[in-house]
Amino acid sequence: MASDVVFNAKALIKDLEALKPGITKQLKKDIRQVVKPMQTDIKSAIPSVNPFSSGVRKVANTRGRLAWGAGKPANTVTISFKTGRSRKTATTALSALVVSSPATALADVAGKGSGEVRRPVTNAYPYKDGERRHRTTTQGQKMIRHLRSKRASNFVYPAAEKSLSSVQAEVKLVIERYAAKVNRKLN
Amino acid sequence: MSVIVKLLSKFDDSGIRKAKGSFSGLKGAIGAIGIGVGISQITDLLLDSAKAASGDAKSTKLLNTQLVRNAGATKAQIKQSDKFIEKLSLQTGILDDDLRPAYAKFGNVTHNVKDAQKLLTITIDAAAGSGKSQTKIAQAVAKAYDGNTKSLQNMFPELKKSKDVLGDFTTEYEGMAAINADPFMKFNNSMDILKEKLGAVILPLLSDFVDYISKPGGPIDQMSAFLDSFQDPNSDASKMFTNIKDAVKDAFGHVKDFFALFGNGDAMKGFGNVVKTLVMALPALIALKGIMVLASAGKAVAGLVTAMKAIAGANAASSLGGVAGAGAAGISVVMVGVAAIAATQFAAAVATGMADASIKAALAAKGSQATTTTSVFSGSNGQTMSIPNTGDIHDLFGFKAEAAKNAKPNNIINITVTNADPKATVDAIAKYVKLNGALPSVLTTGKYGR
Repeated sequence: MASDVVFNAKALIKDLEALKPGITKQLKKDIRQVVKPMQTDIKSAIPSVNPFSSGVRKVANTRGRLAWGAGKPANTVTISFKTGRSRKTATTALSALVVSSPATALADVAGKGSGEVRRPVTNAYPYKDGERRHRTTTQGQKMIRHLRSKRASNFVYPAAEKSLSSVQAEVKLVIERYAAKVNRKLN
Repeated sequence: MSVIVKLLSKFDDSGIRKAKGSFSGLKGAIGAIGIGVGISQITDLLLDSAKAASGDAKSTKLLNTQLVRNAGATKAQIKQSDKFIEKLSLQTGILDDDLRPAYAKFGNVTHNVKDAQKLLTITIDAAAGSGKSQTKIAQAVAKAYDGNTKSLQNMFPELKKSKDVLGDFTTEYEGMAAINADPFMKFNNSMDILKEKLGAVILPLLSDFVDYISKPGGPIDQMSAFLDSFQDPNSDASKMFTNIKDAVKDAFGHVKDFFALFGNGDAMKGFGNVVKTLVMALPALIALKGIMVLASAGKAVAGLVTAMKAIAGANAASSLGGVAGAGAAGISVVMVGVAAIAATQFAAAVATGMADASIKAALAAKGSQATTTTSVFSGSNGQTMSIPNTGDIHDLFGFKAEAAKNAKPNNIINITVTNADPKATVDAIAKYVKLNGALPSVLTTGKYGR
């Protein structure tokens, strides 16, 4: 998913703050305003009912960290704006929408692979005083089959793509508008 | 785990630069502690590779962004574009960084990745075949693609009558870049591309490595703690270095004491005296050998000093109490030593085949004196040599010599040689003087006269 690249974003924010303290807050507000429709689209695309649940039998854990809605609501979509650097890659997201609920993310990407079991038996791992290995269960495959049958996977990006290019352009415009303020001051 | 929809990206390679900086620091540290050259060379290569990869990634990213924006390139086309640039660079010996701007320009003009590649290839071929500027040809070709062939025809007049300017242009210069490619540049490019590929692998590893060494409690913390421990006098590390320091200090003290014996308590002066004397009187090496034998028996420099004291005799030993105790008595011992070195030469001459007792006359004829007194020592054939035994006597280097503690200027040492060839003795002295210019300076400055 191609997105435009901004150079010296950190320096831009620094210069903006020097120009008018607190202006970064306004910049973030403006971006949030532009992105809000897309955020709403994605939120509404996220199933309101646990897609892992089945009337017949359980297909996945319904408790713990990966349970639907555990920790935070399943339809949590946050708008991120980060100017910090990464140690691992030079190009990172300046602004992004993050679907941060683990179960939602899992459901969204589940079923995209073949579902084929790569290792029928696990590697040896320490167990009590010795080691053990076990056969890989078919739970994952069942879960994928179930999600596919309910067409419950891959909902975030389809929702985002409806307005992605226009939102990207608008976010870029916001950044350019603020960059122009700095440039005007410098010139 | 989360799903991220990117809206806008930013380029900031300061994190990677910082990682590289840390790696440079590590390289410096490795160099500083003297770990092999090999590691230093490897880090150089890795740093170069990481740098190349970082620059290449930036340039590629810019091109890809433009291709997507202007030519609507798909992911597959982007991937193919990267390969195309790499292949073209390898074939023509032109740096990939020089190809990308022209490629991006054609992408902007044609809005089509395939056409952009075609135009870039034509441009490179024409530049190689005609020797004209690649940038100018690229501009003309871009205009020709849009239907304005005037610039291209002006640059290449043979196209003026052409009905298919771009087609004929392509036919004329096709493959010229590959034919005219400089093999050396091709090799360089291959190496650069290899380095970039290595760098692309190295960058994340580098980053992980830096994370590892800089994590709390990691190697850097541990090394810092180790270095800090030197500041604590009670730590084992600090104690170890204190012990080493004391040992060196002791050893140096003994060496200093030893040379102070020869320099009136001044170790440096003593060292100078010893060196000068040894150089002037090579036979003294025989005596030195004796010292070393004794010293090795003591297995230490301290043993050497003890040996000297033992050689100098009990009386002298009491006056040789190290640097602080060395005074006039110390000088006398040095003088005895130097005199004995000269006497060693005489004795050597005596011991190697003399038969006559008196050399006095012969020495006098040469401007020297020789009178008989005491302290006889013998050669293997019954020869004897006497050195006067008056006043303070010290046994040094196996010879008896007169101490000069109370010696006056122009004092004369009388040496008697019996049962030896006076001519051989005189010749030995004369030869010594001829070779060395004079008898040892201490002998000619009035402590011991001729």
